[in-house]
Parts: sequence; C-alpha cells; structure tokens
Amino acid sequence: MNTKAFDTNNTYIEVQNVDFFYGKKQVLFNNCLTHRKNSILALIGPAGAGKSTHLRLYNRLFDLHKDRHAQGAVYIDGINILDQKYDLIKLRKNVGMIFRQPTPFPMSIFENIAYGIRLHYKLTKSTLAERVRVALETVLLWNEVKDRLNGHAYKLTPAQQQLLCIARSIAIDPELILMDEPTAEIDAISAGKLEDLIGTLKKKYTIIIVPQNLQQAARVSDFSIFFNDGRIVEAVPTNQLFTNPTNKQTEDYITGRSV
Amino acid sequence: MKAKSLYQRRLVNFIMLSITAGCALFSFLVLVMLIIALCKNGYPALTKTFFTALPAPPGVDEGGVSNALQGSIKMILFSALIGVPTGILAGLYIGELARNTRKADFVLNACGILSGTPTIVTGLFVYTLIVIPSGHFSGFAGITALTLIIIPVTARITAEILVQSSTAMREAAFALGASQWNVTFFVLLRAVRSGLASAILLTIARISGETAPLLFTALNNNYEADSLSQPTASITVTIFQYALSPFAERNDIAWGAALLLTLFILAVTLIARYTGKPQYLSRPLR
Amino acid sequence: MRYKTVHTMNNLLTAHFRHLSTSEKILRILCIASVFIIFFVICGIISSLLYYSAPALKQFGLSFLFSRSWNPGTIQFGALTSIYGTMATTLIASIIALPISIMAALYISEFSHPVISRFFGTVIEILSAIPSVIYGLWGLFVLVPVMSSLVQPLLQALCGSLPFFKGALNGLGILTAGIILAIMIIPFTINATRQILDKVPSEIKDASYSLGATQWETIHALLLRFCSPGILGTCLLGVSKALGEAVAVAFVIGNKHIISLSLFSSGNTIGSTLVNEFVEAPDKLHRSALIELGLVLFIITVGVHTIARLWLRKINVVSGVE
Repeated sequence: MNTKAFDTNNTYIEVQNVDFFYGKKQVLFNNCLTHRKNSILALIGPAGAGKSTHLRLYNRLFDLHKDRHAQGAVYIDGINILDQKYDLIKLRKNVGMIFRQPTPFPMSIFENIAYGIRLHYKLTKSTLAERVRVALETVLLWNEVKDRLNGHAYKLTPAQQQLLCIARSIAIDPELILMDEPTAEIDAISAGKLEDLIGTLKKKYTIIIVPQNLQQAARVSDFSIFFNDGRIVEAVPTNQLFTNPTNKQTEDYITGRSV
Repeated sequence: MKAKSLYQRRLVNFIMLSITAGCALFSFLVLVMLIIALCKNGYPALTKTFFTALPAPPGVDEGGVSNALQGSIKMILFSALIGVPTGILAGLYIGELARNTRKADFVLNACGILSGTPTIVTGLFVYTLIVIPSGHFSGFAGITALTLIIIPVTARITAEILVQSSTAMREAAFALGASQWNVTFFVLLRAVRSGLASAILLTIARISGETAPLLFTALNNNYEADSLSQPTASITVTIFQYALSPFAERNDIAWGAALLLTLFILAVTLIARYTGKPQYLSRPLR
Repeated sequence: MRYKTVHTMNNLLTAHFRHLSTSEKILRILCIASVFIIFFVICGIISSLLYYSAPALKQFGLSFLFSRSWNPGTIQFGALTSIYGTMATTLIASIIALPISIMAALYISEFSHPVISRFFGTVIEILSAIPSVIYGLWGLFVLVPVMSSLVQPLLQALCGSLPFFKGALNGLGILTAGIILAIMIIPFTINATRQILDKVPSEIKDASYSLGATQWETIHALLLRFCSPGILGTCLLGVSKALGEAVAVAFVIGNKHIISLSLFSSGNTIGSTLVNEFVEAPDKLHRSALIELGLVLFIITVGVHTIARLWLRKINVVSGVE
C-alpha cells in the first residue's frame, strides 16, 4: 500500500519503496513516507510489525548484520543513504540513535560523551569540556552530574543513563535522532520528563520515535505512521489519527480491537 | 573545531582489519601445514601390516601397531565408561542437588583445581598410587589415569550446562510433583542431552590424545598384552617413542599412527560440533 | 574448620535423606561418592607427591630449587635448569601467542563476515583438539629443519651480537620449544578471548556504531576497555596451559640440563625432564627428585591457573572459559 506525503513542501526525509530482508525473509514491504524537518514522527503498530527494523534504516545499523539488506531508497536531505557508496561514518554522525535499553559505555560520565566527540573531532581539552557541558545542559542533566563527571556512568539511574545517551548523541551535532522506545526501561515520572525533553529537542533536531505506547505517541509526536506486518497502513498527523482514523485497521488497533 | 579526516580513520580501520585477519589466517595456515605433513608422511605408512602386525624389532621393516591400537581402544573405552558417568554424577551434584549452595561452589573449585593440573602430574599420581604398590606398569593404571582426567572435566561441563538450563523448566517439573530422580533423568538431562553428548565426545577426543599420563602408567609393550594388568601399548606412547627413535621405519610408523589418531580426533570433534554443541565449549588444550 | 567439615558431612549423609525414596537416596549417594572421588584425587596428588618426594626433600632441602646441577651419575639433583627452561619457554610462547590470539579473536568476533567467522571457529576447534604428541612430532620433523636452515641463521645474521642468538644452529632448543608451545596455546586463547568478547552486550556495540565509530574505533576505545580484565584472565589461563605442557616440548627442546642465555641452546623443562627420565630412572633418589619436580610443576601451574580463575570470577566472568 503506497502512502503519500503529508506535506510535499519542506521535505527532509523521503522513503521510497523500501523492502527489507532478514536473510531470505522479507520483513518490510514497499515502505514509503516523507517527513519534514524539526518535527516528530512516531512509528506505531503492534509488536513485530517492523517498527524497529524500519527505524534502523535511517542510520543503516542493519549493516552490522551481513545477512540483512534493504532495497529501495531513503533520501535524507536529498541524498539516498541506502546507496552502498554513501559514507556510513558521515551518515551515522548525522543520525543519532537512542535505544530501548540505556547504553552508557563502561566509563565515566565525561568520557561517555567525549567518546563520540573524539571520534569525529580533534579538540583541545577546554573545547571538549565545553561541548560536554553544553550537551549535558541540553538534556537537563548538567546540574545533577556536574560534580561527578568522573564518576562511572553505571552509577546513574536508568533515567539518567538514558539522558546521558541522548546527550552523547547530540554532542556530535546530528540532524536526525532515532529513538527506539526510549522510555521503556524508565519509571513513569522520569519518562514524563523525557517526553518533555523530546518536545524541546525538536526545535533543533528532526526526530523519529518508536513510542512505548499510543498515549506517548499522542503526547509527543506531530505525525504518526501506523505499521502492520511490515507495511505502512496509514500516515497522518497524530491528532487526526486518534480523533478520526480513516483506515479500518488503524481504528481497530487504536481502539484496542485485534488488528 | 577540526573534523578528523574520514580517509585517515578508514585507513586505520583497514590496516587493523588486515593485521587481525593475518593473525587469524596464521592459525589456518598452521592447520594446513599440520594436515599436509600428516598426510604426506603418514599416508604411506598406513599399510595392511600397520594395522595387523605387532611391532617389529628396530631396523626391521615389517612392523605394525596392532597391539597399540587395541590397547588404546581398550583404555579409552574403559576409562570413558567409568569416567563419564562418574563425572556426570558429580556434575549433577554441583548443578542440581546442591545448586547455588556453597557446597556446590566448593566442589566446582575443586574441579577447577583439577582442570588446572597438568595431566602429567595426574600420571605421576597414578604411578605412585598403582604402579609402585603393584610393582609394574599396567593397562589398569592407564585406565585409572585417563578416568581421573575425564571426571573433573565432565563434572564441570555437566554442571555448567545444568546451571545454564532453565530454572522455569525445573520448577515446572517439581510443581507437577515429580521426584528429584524423575526431574533429573527425564527432564533435565533430557533437555540438555545433545549439548552434553557433544561435550562428552570432545572429552573423549581429548583423552585419546593423552601421552604423558599413559607413559607413566601403561607404558608400552611390544607384544599382544594378555590382560590389562600388564604394561599396555597405546597409539600415543607409540608415536612418542617411535618418533624419537633413530630408525627411519619407526619414524614412518609414528607418522602413520599420528595420521590415524588425528583422523579419529577430527571425526569425533566434527561429530561433536554438529550434534548441537553449546558455543565454543571446546576442549581445553593439554 | 575440622568441626565444620564433619558437620557438612553429617548434613550430606543424614539430614538430606530423611524424606527421600530409595531411588533418590541411591542417586544422592552416587553423586556424593563421585564428588568424593574429586576430593580424593586432589588430596591424593598432594599427599602422594609429597610422600614420594620426601627422600629428595630430605637430601637436598630447599637447595633443590636453586641448584643447577642435575646428574644421575653423581646423584646430584637440582631443579633450577628445569624451572628456568619452563619459565623461558612459557615466556617465549606467551610473547608470540598472546598478541596473535587476541588479534585473531578480534578479527573472528568483530571484523569478519559470519560465514568466515564460522569457518575459523571450526579451524580453531580442530586445532585445539589435536593432541600435543602430534604437535611435537610435527615440530621435530617439520619445524626443526625450518628453524635450523632458515629462522636461526636469519636471526643470527640480523642480531647475532646479542647473547640470545648464539650457539649451534641445530634447530632444537628453547626458542623452538617456545614456538611449538605458542602454536599449541593459540587456539585455546583465541577461544577464550572470543568468549570474553561475546559477553559484551550487542546494544553497547550498536550504540558505538550509531555514533559513527568505525569497527576498529569501537574495538579500540570500547571493547578492549570493556574486556581487558577478562582478556588478562584468559591470557593467564593460556600461560598455565603452556607451563604444564610436557610431551610436545620434550620433542624439540634438546633435553640438556643447562642454563644458557641463548635461545638456540638446548634446555629442558619440568615436563620434558619427567617425560624423558621418569620411566628409565632406576635410582630411588632420582625418582624421588623427579617426583619433587612434578610437585613443583603442580604448584606453579595450579597457582597460576587458580589466580586466573579467581580473577575471572572477581570480574564476573564465571563460566567455562577454561
């Protein structure tokens, strides 16, 4: 099922007829969508519908597994990133990713953020420290950790760890941030704060998120894509999706009937 | 702010890739060289007399290793028959009966010490245990040495497999009112049998290559051993002694025996690998 | 302590059995009996080696460890040459084997395509299954000629002024033994290192790649940092394997009781001396001295092995790296 753009102006991402395979098994079928800058796109749908797989198209993380491959085209800013010649390092510097489980590295808080920066830039000590501070301030973690930057990242709470991971991503100036159920391992209160943060991040970044549940999609996203069995069923502005779904499958899912 | 050169980063990556690949390739080359040498030197020696004849006196061309073949088979077979069940029982104790207790930990540590003990020392121990009191080397002593090597290894592997096996499954079985006996033999061991079987095969492959402990216990024999209470020839000790012999035809026989032993171990290892072995549960080196 | 042991045994034998049926009692008794065999072997090794090395211990005392004369003719026995040879060969083996194995493990676990990785998995499996007597045979008939005709002349030409590369170029000696040992422990350490590497959660690696790191950057800045304690432990395990190896070394080390700085010189290790002399030792004191050597080997090897295991356990790598 082809799904057309929400908005043909101001297109930042355009996915064209993407099929995706685990070995011989096809898991995404003819995915098409467009998305514009500085807005939040939520991928919703039942478990196993291919949301996370779709999300990993944008930074080609599936390339780590040699048995997986994608066909079609994904344009970010007009460049097809599925092109084998497109530079993965450049791509991934441009596209940050937050995982379901917080993934701090086994090192200090400071080193965690410096890790990404050092990969891409040669900096003096003071500029490095400055960038680390800015990143932590952006995610509102600075005040909590400024006195223990050299403490081990594993000593942070899960919520703080997740914030640290976001800070680590934005420290290298991405344009697009992918989030795969970022609040799944976090308590409800911190999850609420993280949602607020996501809302503020969209001023600077474009975000694609697989939300933890429908409520979260409703709260944070501007646009929603409904997935089922690897196919994009419906793509609409989020408020419309909940108030006035046009597709029967979507409606069933949202109202809790089986799809 | 200066961006790092992508070209440079990728170049470093490629250089490290090449170096590490070279190291991996080295291990493969070693295997190729080993196999070439074994086939080239060993294959001509594998004649009919090799399998049927008794060892000839030094310098005579008509010798074989039939007695060593028999001795090896007997000793490996008997020690596996005794050692594997004993090891599994000890493993059951660690992984099931005393699961997660300090006793289990204690026994596991003991097994750890034994698995760190060079087999040559185990051989010395059996020498003092059996050869000195009985006054002569014997096949029984050889079997004892091999058995004592098998037990701790099998115990550790069994315990490890059991510990990794699902708690839910055990609890479900116990919840049905099954007895310990029943759970152990009809649920637990059944669930892990393929992993266990391949691990045991690897252990057998491993003891069939043991040389030093047999040298101190079963020694060697140029004749058909009437019983295991006499010194008993084995393939490995024959390889060792014939290889160091100054006579060329004995060297040839050593190569032939080495090829035979390698083929046997290769077959057992590959069978073990394809009977659902848990990953990398490989035999430790001796 | 003794009280505690007795108490434990009581526990084992009575308290546990109260509510059990006959078949379960039998199972328990069999299991416990098997466990006792393990303890019997440990105690037996220590006590019998001590008992039979008593004559040598009495005769030579501590000087056994520091005397370099080993002469069955004059009944003079000192372990220093053997200990030196064991250490020297193990050191050479470690220097060669450990970097190669770690690199190879990194390639197999991180760089390579899954198919290649599986292929090398099988290669390593086979290599680690090949017994030491075959490595020894190969060393004697294939490696030794290469050493004498190629490696040794080359080394001597390149850095012959060093004391390490002096002496006859017959291909035997400490260096050759070290190389054989290295080849033997490489498969073991590759396997063990891979097990450590595979313990790194894949999310962490994904996170690093999603930041735009190359494979080597991920390995260097993240994996090695994460794994270096574990890899250290596996290296120690590899060293303990090398220390205890006897037969393969006996083929190629030349078997002379001398200490020489030259790596081309013949020497002996504890294991090779035992293999060569034990069966033919007619003299009681000679045999006793050999058993004492075995005791020394037991202590060194089990010591290193236990340190490695405790270390691995401390850093939470509990399962079967060995």
